[in-house]
Amino acid sequence: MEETTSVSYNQNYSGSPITNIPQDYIFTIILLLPIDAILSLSVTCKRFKAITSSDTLWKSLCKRDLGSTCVDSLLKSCNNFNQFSWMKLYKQVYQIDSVCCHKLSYPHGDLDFPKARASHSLNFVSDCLVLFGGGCDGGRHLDDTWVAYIGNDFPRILKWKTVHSGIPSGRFGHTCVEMGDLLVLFGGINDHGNRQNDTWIGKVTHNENKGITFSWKMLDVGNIAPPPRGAHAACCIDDKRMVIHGGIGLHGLRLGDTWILELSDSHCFGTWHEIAIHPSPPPRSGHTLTCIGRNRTILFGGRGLGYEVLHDLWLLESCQGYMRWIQVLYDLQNIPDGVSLPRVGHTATMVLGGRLLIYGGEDSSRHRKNDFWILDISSFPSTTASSKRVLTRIWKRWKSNGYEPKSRSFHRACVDPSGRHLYVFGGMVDGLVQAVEPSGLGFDKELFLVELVLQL
Amino acid sequence: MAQEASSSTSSKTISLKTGDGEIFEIEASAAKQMKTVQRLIDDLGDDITIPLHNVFSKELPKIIEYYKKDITGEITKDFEAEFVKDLNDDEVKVLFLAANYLDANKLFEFLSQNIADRLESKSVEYVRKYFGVENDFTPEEESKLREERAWSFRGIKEDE
Repeated sequence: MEETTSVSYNQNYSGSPITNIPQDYIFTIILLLPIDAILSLSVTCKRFKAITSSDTLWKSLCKRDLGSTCVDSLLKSCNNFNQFSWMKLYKQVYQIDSVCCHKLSYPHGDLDFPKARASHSLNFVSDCLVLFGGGCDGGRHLDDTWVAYIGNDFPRILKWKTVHSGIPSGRFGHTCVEMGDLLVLFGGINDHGNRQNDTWIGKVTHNENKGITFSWKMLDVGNIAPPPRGAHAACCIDDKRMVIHGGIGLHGLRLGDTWILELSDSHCFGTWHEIAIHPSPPPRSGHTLTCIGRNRTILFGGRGLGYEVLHDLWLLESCQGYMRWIQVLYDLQNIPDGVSLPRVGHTATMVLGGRLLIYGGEDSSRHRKNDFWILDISSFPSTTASSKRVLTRIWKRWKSNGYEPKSRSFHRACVDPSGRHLYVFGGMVDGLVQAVEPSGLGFDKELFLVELVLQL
Repeated sequence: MAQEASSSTSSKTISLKTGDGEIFEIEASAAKQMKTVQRLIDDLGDDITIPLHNVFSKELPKIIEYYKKDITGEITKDFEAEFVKDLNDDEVKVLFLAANYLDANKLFEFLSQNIADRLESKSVEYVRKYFGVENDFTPEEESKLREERAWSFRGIKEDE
């Protein structure tokens, strides 16, 4: 049986069977292995050490794990090509364990910048930052759109340009999601307390004469749309589809429904349909949905029906044609400082190296936070389910160096294509010298940058 | 395991002879998926029993089973899971090498993934045994290498 096979082997193969396989085929297996297995392989023998040291292999691994957009952006920022090694870069990215914050300022004497606000939207699209709406002093809503050109490197001095006001109508607690070159805006609440359920498409245009402009157009979705809401969560699934979940609907009721918007090729029409699947995340508001690649999205935190602050994690993925929610269980007790993890009004953004960066928000004791938590997405079991990796250390708290921002909630954040630069604007902050309201709460207008530092 | 001989060319069967002398039948359309077999058919004609010196009676039926399912267009994740469920590491390796020899691309890719899945979180010693390679580092070289590579080790499974 087994013995017969191995005897037959020796009759027909000289030396180890593996040495008969062309190197390319070994690369096929290597490119499917997680990094620690590749490094284990490199320690087995000299031949495998040589194969796994190939810089071409590590470039492919960087593309695989960091994404092509990121790799292209890193190449552009590289100063010293002679000493550049893809393996060293991979290792550096892997070992990042802190961020560096920078306060961004406006040109001296410039009076044209967005006023303090919270629950607005902030996106990075077509090399620009785009800001829309939000709530400000006195519970008023805002309806202004602002654009700032960023380009490839982060600027210390940023110039906002106001685009126009009035369309879409003023609101806060809406969502705005990047889909390719477009922004898709949905819902929100206005200062009469009216919940909305209209859908808008926004696009940046670089015009030779007028410079950068931005335009919004209402999307024709036909008769079916999700019930009106604000403080829901949304993100894209792929180039054509967006998912929303929960939020605060009519009569202040917290919702727990999941809806998918599918855009037509022309981007002029869209179709909404509800996914009624069980199990699914319980009703909540002020939570986040983030696309983590390969058509999967992650939901985190929020405030539930009983007004409690949540910390559960849910994955939405496509499985053989239908979508399903899977709860990712973890033990809060086992995480150092885990008691501060439950969050509402935080931001969750995918940054360099397959990490979800969670910043700020309010914790269970109604304190506004100023900390950075990382959820290691690359530790998640893949859906092929044959991987038995244990979810150890999926949460890590990162140090923050440089400028120290104020603690905040209901701010907004977005990342540039390199995955190294996170822009954060506004939010509710604790009042400092002068209490703005009896509770000492105020709206903020600070714009700062969170950088994942790499030596290139 | 004699298959019915059919007079229609679309369900013509090809005879394959393993290195240990056994003969198996496979539909011509399934045989086409294995480029080595197709090349031999092109050279020798499809009426002759095609000799496969490097494939044996233990693994060929399994390969035929895979491609039989493939030509009916039905390979699902469930089928693939079931296909490898009872195979041990050596059996998968043997199939992988056979798929390589037969230039059977779909099976080869599927098995590559399966091997990768099996090697995840295994120790260096396990991987050496799996590939049948000898450790040709000196103890000093090896420990230096392990130290250099330690940055990514997350947690090793117990060797099974």
